[in-house]
Amino acid sequence: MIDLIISPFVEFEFMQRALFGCLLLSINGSLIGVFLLLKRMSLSGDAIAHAILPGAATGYFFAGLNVLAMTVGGLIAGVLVAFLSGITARKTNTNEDSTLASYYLCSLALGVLIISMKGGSVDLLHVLFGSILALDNDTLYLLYFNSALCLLGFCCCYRFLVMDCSDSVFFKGLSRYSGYSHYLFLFLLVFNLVAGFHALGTLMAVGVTVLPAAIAKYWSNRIESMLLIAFVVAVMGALLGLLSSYYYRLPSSSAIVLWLGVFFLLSVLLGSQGGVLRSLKSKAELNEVLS
Amino acid sequence: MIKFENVSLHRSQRCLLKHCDLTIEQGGFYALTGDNGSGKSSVLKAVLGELGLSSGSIVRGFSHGDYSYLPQKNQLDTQFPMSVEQAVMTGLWSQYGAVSALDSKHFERINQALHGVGIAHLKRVSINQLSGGQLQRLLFARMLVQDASLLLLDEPLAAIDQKAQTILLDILKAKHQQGVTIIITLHDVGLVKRYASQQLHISDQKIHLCNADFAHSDDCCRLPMRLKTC
Repeated sequence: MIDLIISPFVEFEFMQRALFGCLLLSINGSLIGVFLLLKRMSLSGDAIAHAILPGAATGYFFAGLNVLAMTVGGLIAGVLVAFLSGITARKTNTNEDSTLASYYLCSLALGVLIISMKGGSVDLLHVLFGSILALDNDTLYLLYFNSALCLLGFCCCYRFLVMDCSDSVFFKGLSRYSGYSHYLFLFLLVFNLVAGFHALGTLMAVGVTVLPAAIAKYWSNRIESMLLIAFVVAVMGALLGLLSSYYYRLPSSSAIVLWLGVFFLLSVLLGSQGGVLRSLKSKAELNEVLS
Repeated sequence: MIKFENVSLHRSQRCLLKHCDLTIEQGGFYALTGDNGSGKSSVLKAVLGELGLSSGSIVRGFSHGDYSYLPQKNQLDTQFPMSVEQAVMTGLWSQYGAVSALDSKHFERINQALHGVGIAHLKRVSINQLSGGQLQRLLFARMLVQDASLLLLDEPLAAIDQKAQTILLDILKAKHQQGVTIIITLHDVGLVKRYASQQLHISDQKIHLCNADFAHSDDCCRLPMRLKTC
């Protein structure tokens, strides 16, 4: 059994690279995902993941599948959509979710249009679903840099983010820099999604960010342990996803996200914090006491 | 000191204040009163600079971190995964900031504040398990550890029982005696008389300042001998 798990990673370099890339993504994904969940922005994360497409596509249009060009393009597009939706919402007194949805849909459509002008459907699939089994050195360096930047950002701003997430009005009264933490967080989110899309594609990158955090919420009511659980779950999902992909010839990014989906369903049922069975058990115990 | 100079204030195209001048002295215990919708919360927000004025200006003798504001609608995310102790700890931000570690003195202050408001036994409990009244006590404890020189409280007693009201108002009175300026919106005339030194009553788009001993039905502040009108 252990041999079955280890041998693909010992024998093949592409599997080692894929696992290493997933580990790097899991560090960032668990950190960002937990705060995304606590800020109630999980769907915004999904929208921004789509929004980076035209930038990446423009990079692709001019430089082909070049990591740097697609990263810079994706970063600009993601940041632009995130900030434009925020500013439009504030200036026109509408909800940010509606402006973000509008901008990201236009952005996604523009991205598909640009890719279709240059390449065929195979290239589009590469951008949408990534290439975790073919990570080159450039992509791994990008994932390294992304992890380092993300960890540094969170080390400096962890308390800012906790304060802002728990009670932003109160924090505003305490610090004149309270608003900046939100924008730094948005930047880290976009950067993480841009790095993630090289490995898993725009559609799946957000999955490894949001799902581990959603799972962790069912097992802990302390932020520190949520971060740890999310990281462990993300790594397990990546490991099982890569192995399924190797043995059953499944698309890797879909397999990783689907394993996380299985963990999520199990957590919904069995989770110690609000899981269905736990709630039923508590109710039964209460009824017993009352009778 | 907070000084209103010819202040007019509108909210949703409705005039709340019209050309008001008012001075709120440092160290006072002000009860802000008025009918529902008269603009009590808006006045507090205008004092903090969160609400733009239609005309005039407000001179603020305090800066960021000098004040503590307890809004009418609690903004603390009760689903946030933190304990009561951790929630109160956030009130110490101005002392430990983004990177400094907390020492035993900080934890002692947190314990004192929790004891003061009567929820020390809940300090390890998650905030999502608190009742409305317990949550309000937590917010008071968080405000107490801040050591702010100006406290602004917008209907802080709405969700709590009479016994807790007395405890919390006694704490505010003690703070007032230490020189802290307090502005609190209240509806109960008895509490205004018992705790406040001055009353700020909003009616007819004016703020009427009067001695809290004479307070307060809607009419008493209109008596010329007892009030200054803005």
